[in-house]
Amino acid sequence: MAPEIDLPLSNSPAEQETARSESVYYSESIFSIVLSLIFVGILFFAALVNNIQVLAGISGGTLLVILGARGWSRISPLKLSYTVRLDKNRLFPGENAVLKLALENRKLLPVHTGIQSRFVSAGETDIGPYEQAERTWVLTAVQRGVYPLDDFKLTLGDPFGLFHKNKPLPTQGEILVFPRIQKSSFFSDASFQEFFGIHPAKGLVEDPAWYAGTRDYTGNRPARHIHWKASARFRSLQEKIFEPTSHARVLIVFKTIGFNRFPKKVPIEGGTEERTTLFLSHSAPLNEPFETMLEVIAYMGNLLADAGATFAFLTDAGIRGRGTPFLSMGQGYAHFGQLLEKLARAELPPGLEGELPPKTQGIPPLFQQARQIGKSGTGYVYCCSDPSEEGESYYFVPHARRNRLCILTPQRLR
Amino acid sequence: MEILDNLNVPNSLPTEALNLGVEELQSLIQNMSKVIIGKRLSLELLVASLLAEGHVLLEDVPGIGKTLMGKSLARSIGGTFKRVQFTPDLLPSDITGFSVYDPKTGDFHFHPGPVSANVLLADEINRTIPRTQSSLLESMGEFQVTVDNVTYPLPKPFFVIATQNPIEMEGTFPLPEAQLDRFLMRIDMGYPTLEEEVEILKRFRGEDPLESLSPVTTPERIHQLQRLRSKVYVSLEVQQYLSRISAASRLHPSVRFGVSPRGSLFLQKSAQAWALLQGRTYVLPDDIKVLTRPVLQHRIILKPEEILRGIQTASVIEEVLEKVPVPVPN
Repeated sequence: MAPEIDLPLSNSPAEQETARSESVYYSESIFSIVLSLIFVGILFFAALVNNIQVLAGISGGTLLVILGARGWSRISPLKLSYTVRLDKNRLFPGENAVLKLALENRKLLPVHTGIQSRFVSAGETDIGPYEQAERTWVLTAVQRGVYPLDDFKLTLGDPFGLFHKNKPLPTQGEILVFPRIQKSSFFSDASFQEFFGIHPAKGLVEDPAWYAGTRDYTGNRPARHIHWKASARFRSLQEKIFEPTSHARVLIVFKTIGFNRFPKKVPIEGGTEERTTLFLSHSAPLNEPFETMLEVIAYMGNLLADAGATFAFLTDAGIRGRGTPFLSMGQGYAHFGQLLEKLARAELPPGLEGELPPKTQGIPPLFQQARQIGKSGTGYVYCCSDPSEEGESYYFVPHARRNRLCILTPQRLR
Repeated sequence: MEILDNLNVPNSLPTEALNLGVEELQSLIQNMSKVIIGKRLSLELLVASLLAEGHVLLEDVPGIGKTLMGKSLARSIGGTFKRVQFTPDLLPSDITGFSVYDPKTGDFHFHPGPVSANVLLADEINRTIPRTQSSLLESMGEFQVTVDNVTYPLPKPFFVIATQNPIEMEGTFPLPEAQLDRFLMRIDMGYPTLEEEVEILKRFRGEDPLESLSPVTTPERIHQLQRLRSKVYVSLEVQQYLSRISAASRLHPSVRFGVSPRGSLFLQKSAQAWALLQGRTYVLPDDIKVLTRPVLQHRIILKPEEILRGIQTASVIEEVLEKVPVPVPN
């Protein structure tokens, strides 16, 4: 069984007792209109005064049903416990998460219930006295982003469906959909590693102090790597294979200002009607180059984690929810997971559409931060919206001749 | 002893030897507590590992007291103590020892490395390359070292205390799975509480209390206690409970590789040591529960996608413990 994430969505017995004092509001119903009640009341009073027994019976009965149903819906939250469980809250596009709502009615009166949120709707069901019910939804991740679970409303009412109350649930959880790990044709695994000065067969780490052995010299390596004694012994040029005893450092800088000028596309429709499979997607138009860049950064992170390199990430994008737009130097898959979370939360800051951003005076804060993090021997990946911004990398790459710099723009990734 | 009778436990441990052993072990922990403040559980786990003839990996951020804990144990049990600071340029022969040619005799003479000691403190083990890390495999698993086709036995007891920084930190090399499996326990120390930190400041204000720490036992006594530990009774029900935990760890959907049979064996050994430390001659399911996390957390390998989601082995173990029913006496 998958590990279940307990969302703060269950009510304790103490909560049930105080349920009456919690903020609830009534949904629209013909019987909730005060005028209707007044009208039926007047009709009943008039029938009694004029001794019209049939009318008095009908209007009195109607009034009784209305008031009874209203009272029923008022006490429906009492002794009703609920638990919402989500099996995963971090998803890759295409993956599914299972959302379960368990309800238990611990009283004699049956209750009509339902649940509503931005991606789960209806789910209406009647729960009899001392009965339990469970509803399950499969949430399919479609689009990168953060999907808060803070708008859950539990709909409660009488079994006739006459009156309903919507009770907001105090939820704080969220579902994160990571960007796709998108391989770009701009660079292959080998060329990316070669770019940072390391031979693809060895990974991103090496130490010139210790070497493990030799192999045939390939010609594209510096001549200082040639092992002359071994070459004499084998009668062919041999190069040294180094021990992987030092880590490569790579800083990924993502400047998002400027991405606003790209046209946006309408995303895939998200489902909100009553069904068991729902899609996690946004309704706002998509900035495709921005999304592609995030996917390529995710791919780079994967490459770096595989190679055992240390890497950091810095951006000027907005970060939705908790966290900062900076990921410190680290290594391994857990660190890569943190990078994916930053990318999932990244939002394009507002800017001028259809135009390049105006040149700013002085060094922008993003580059000042990048300058502080980077040090000699660090490789840089600078992601920006236009090739004309390439020159800005000199703000933060010290000793540009010694430090490797890779510049990525949407035009190059195409 | 009523429970013991109900469980029909063969009481093979002499009471006098048991009481003496427990007293000695408690004084060992007490002695270390003079230097290590407020980490009673960590100290007990460390001593339990020593009794179970296992090795310990202490993992936490720098400055928590990992090295100090290793040093205080070494001082408290006497015997030979060696410390190796693992650095990226350390070679396997720097650990195991090497043969040197003597021109006078025309023979090779073996110079034992720091591994030939009762207590070896492998400090910051993940700062060196995996090749050097793996040089400890034979000595930790088989209590011997082989150099130039000659096998040299290691002194008894032989206990490795390795410290490491969290693997996400820059400049670290993750330990290979085979190496991790050789460690009996991985103990996470954690930060001290406010009161504990004040007490640390008080004790370390003047002279280093480690300097005045004297041995309270001997390596020979530890070796005897290790043999005493092997006589602690483990009932069939407890063994089945332990096996169910290992099996459940293999079936968990977030797990790529679950606990190996060696992990189950280590858990049983640790439970025996833990029971002895508590003055019992038999193992309870509670002992297994206490030890499951430190003994198994470094043996479970999660699926890469679960690591990316932030799932940790500790949470997987908690789930496993929740699901596996605990045996109760009839």
